[in-house]
Amino acid sequence: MTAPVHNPEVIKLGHVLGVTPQRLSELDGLADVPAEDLRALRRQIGEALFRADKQHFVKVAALSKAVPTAVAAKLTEHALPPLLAARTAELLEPQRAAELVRRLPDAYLADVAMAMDPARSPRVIAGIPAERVARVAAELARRGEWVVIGGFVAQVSRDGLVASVRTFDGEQLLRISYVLDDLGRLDEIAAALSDAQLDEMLAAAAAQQLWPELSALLAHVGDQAIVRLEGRVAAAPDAVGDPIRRAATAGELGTAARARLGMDGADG
Amino acid sequence: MPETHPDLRAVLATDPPASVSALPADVQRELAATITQARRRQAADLKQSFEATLRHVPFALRAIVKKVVL
Repeated sequence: MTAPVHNPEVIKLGHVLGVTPQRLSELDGLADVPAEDLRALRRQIGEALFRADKQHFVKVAALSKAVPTAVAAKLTEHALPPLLAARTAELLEPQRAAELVRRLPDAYLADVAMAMDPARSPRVIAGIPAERVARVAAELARRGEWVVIGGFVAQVSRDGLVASVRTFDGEQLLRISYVLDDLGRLDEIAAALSDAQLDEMLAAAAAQQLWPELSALLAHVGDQAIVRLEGRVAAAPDAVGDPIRRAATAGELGTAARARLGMDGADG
Repeated sequence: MPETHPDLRAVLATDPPASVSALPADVQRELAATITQARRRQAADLKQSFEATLRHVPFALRAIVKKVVL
């Protein structure tokens, strides 16, 4: 069994390149490159991949614009494989894309989402109704596509984000927040979480030793959420609270996470 | 100023961030090869996609559609 990689940017880079993060971790020094530089490199690679076959996507997009939306939707679903649809969507007018999205089934949209680079289609994604965003997000979560969801979080509307968050359980939320492309939205996510979801997140971390995920969340989330999380840890049953305190003592929870939970004396 | 490996600059068509250019030459070369593999995989997937799409187009129109798309 290969060891998990605990570097969100290396995990995301692996997704774009279609290789395991373990393989990238073997490249000497790559995992030590600053996160913002790995993010910039990932954007450059996405651009290079798009540019490589752009002439084909432009033609498919032009064909798609030439027929009525209803016909285009039928053709898209039945004849256009998700990879082609994803790249083509990046060239469609947001209004046209929104009309197509309305007519396509959730599972197909999830397939397309997996092949898309969300950063290339911000207006198309922001225009998708909240309820559709949530249904597709739930399907992607069912498939365990954390990096894909983490990329879309940066682009979906506020309503779409809130609706999606309501569909996720604690483990899903921890895994998604670990690979979020835009940490600036973490507080929007935190504000939408119920106490039950916070409890589920802590329980999932304790049960599955998701300490890197919990550490990253605690390090980046705002003060309001920290106050809530502190309260949930204090009120948690021993089966949840004890493993968290032990992880703090053992240093499995990061320094920033321990400090923010008031457990920075745990190992001293 | 770190030197970007020519293979990496060629596949990206630009210089990567300085910290990436500062990686050992063999790592940059391997990274460039991985990007090239991803491009080849995408091209192969697209070819397969076009062929799958064409199967849904009436036979009489396939040549025209192929000419427009490819």
